[in-house]
Amino acid sequence: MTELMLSRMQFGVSIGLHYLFPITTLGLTLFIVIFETLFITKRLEQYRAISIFLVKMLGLVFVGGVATGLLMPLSMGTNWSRFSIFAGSIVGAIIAVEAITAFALESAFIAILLFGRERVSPRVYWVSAVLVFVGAHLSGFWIVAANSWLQTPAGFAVEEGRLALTSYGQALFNHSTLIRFAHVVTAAWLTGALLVAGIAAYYAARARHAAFAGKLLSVAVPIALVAALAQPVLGHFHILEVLRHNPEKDAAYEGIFKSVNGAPLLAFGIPDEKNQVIHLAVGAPYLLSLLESGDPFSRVTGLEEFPRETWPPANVIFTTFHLMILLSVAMIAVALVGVILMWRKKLTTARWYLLLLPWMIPLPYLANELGWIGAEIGRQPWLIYGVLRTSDASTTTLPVWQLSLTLVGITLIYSAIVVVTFVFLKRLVLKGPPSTV
Amino acid sequence: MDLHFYQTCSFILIMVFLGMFSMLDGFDLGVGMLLPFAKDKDEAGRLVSMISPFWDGNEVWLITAAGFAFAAFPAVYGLLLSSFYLPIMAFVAALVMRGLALDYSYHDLAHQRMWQRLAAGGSYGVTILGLLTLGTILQGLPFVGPGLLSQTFSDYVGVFPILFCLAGTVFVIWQGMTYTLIRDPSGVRQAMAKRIWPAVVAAGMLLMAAWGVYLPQALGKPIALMGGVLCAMGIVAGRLTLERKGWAFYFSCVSMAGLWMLIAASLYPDVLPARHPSGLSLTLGSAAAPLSTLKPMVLIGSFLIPVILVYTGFTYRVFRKGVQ
Repeated sequence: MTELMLSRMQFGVSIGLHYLFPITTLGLTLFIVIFETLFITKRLEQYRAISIFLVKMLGLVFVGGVATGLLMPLSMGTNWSRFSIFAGSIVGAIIAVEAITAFALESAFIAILLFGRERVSPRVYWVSAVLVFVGAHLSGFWIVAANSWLQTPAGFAVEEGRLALTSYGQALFNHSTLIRFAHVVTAAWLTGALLVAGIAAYYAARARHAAFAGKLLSVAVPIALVAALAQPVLGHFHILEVLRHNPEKDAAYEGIFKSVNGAPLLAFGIPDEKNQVIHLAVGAPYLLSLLESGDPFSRVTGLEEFPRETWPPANVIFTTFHLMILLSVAMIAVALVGVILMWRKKLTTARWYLLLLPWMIPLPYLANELGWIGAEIGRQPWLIYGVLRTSDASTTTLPVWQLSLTLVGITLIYSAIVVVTFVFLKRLVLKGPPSTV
Repeated sequence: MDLHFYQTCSFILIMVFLGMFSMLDGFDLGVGMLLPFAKDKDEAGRLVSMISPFWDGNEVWLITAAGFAFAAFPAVYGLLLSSFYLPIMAFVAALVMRGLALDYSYHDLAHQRMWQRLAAGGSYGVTILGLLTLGTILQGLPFVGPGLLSQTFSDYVGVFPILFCLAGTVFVIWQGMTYTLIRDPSGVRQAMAKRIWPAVVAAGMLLMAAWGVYLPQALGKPIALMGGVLCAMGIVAGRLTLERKGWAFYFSCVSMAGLWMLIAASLYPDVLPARHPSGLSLTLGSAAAPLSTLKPMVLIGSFLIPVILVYTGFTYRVFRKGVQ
């Protein structure tokens, strides 16, 4: 049991810290493509300066992502060997193709972005930027497909005590892949948008690099609003998918312990799994029933109808889910204010707003993490929903001392990578963009 | 028949990925291991600049090999990685350190020397741990039951892995040394390569002797013999062409390819051989995924290798003059 917990903690720490990097990468590549496109169409040196600056950031973030990501597929073999042996023919087949399509493409062309600006024409440079964007997003697609397969497995059969693919297409495009990918990618764009907007606002508030900051803000703030507004919409469709395919998880997300007609949509509450109630519940009556079926009086199935041993830890996932939504609302508000200021041509002069924006940078990171904690802990007790329990998936031969050693080592090394990346990024920001823009 | 064909193709494909890794990231690692011998931090900086646009892409061949092993031989992936837990973790840590340190040596000029040292340390760690693991597999693993390996460290210890690691490390350094001759074909570098070469010959002889003593059954296989001959030819031809730009490197790649032929043929038809005859070895047949996985993997893999080589070749062309 201790061994299982240690392996779970190790995976949680490593994937949780790793995830900070790829979402930043996805967000930055979006902005690099936008500014490279503006540069080759409008030939304005300022756009190029912005791209140069963002590429420098990307270099640091990308290498941190590679460093923290290396362990992820290997850890499935080291710590989750029973899972690997049982499901490798499916999950491995997704990860292998991720490596040979996405990683290869991304890593080849990021070299041109980082080192090749003077070596290739602006057009080839633009193509490289697009290919890095495509490679990064393709990588996101494959890994989200692999995770979605764990949540809503499809296209497989059990043969001789292990899994066999019956349809690669169905496994890849299982019920939750596309909606989860849309949710994850737009969340990454929101992360990138608030990151670059925060940096630009930092300059604008101090009247440094005013033109640079103005251009960056005017692109980042509207994108932040669009990506922020997309979250509740995509989240809604995603939760409908969860309701259909992982009903226990949905009930825990919404805090419905007892089945009820006309269920309320809770905005706040303190869940109490033991007594099966939500204390201090605040919510909109009938709204959950309405959202889930279109009928405000429809019946919503509570956790009580599922066997106790298949409940996900309801306290944790109700809380993380609602904190994520709270952050989502806050980010919509921040972006909305920004767009209104922009529309009234006050974006670069509203000092209070410019001073506020840099402090908004952590919000999307927190929301991303909370969302994934809910998704992953919400899948418990299953590793592959309905097929393989987490407790039947871990390696049985690893001694506690080895697991403890690697858990401590990985926590230290990963934290060091996050801290060093942050310090170097901060140094880059304080130094400012190139030349006099 | 069909199943056996795709099992063999998957095995070959993974060996090809590992071979590509040893040739391409091999030169990055080799250059990394040469860093401590640079006379000052500027020369070390020049060495780093020769590999900085490439190491990350080259590392992908290893990830690809791991991914394909996960898909095509799940039983091998699960058993090997979990049984070599600490060595694998240390290997990953070294790989992480190598990559980060190479990158950070540009971002943190104040501590450049420290990052260069860490990059060198990481390169040695990756090479030595990788080769020791591979050598231990080749020597045969201490199976104690079906899909179960011994938990006792001493059951893994042997002479072959140590000799294999020694010789292999020299080969990887040679791979890096000959690569630097492409970027900097100066007399100084050539003289250095000439000084190293006898060690490469010694390593080649040591390797062949180790194979003859510890894995003699492998030498009865034609592909293994061909691999051994290619490996030796590459070493000799490299010395003869040291003055001709690039050639020594290409011949070092020939040696690497030969070595992988020798490795693959020695293992086949096992993937994880047992150290003592027990019938417990994980073979292609017992470890492979079902045909429904092998087929798409083989098709996707063999279709994409040339595509990747084309665009990777393009980036090598772009940086043929190195980076500042």
